[in-house]
Amino acid sequence: MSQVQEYDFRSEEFIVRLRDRDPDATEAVVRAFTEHLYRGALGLGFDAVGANELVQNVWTTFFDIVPRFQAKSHVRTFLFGILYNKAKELRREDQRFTSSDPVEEVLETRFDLHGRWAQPPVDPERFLMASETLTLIEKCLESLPLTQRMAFCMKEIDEHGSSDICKILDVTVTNLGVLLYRARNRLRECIEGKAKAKV
Amino acid sequence: MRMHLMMCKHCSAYATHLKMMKDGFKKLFAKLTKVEPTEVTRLEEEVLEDLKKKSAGG
Repeated sequence: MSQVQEYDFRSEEFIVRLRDRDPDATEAVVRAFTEHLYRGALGLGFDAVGANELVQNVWTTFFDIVPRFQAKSHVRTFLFGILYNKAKELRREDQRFTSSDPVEEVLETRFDLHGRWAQPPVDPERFLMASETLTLIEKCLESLPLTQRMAFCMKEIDEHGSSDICKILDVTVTNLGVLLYRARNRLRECIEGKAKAKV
Repeated sequence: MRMHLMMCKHCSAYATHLKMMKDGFKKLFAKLTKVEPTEVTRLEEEVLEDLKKKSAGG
């Protein structure tokens, strides 16, 4: 394995080399970001084989389009944008941002006409037991649409900045807020349902 | 909002749920995304090999 030089991925000089598909520059980004992409694919619910294929797909696409990379965002953000789009294709999910989500109807039933809790949340101790059962919460995560899952993972787990997430998902800040609201509430409702069922 | 959370036990429970959920999912993701370095190295080598062939193929 060749020794990979340290590069400043934001520098003008590096970006030009990347666009020219310089082998050393290409190898540097592959070595720097493959693990992130692979873990990102696993976090989206792909198994090891699927994640492997997805990552290879991402790099092939990156190589095809890198001459047009304008460096408006970090190369990592660009790569995750490709990952998201490839994951959508593989999942064949219709990921258009919708004006409503089923969880919003559920939430409306939680409150009465005066805005008071009609169905209060369960006791936090019961919720805690459910939220600590990883197999249980994994099932809840699997029910999330891909875009909401990706928004939730990047914001809550990886703690990416909202600006980066918006670029990756190609949504506005307002839409991101809505995606996160829906994801959090879908997950909370699912876990609470399981917490109640455990009695 | 902080005042409300201090006074309203239901909203406070809801906020606590969100915090517990975040902690639970962090543990889940640590488990789901655990990878061996050798897996990653192998994948990197496959990618680089593919890109090299693509580059040679024009």
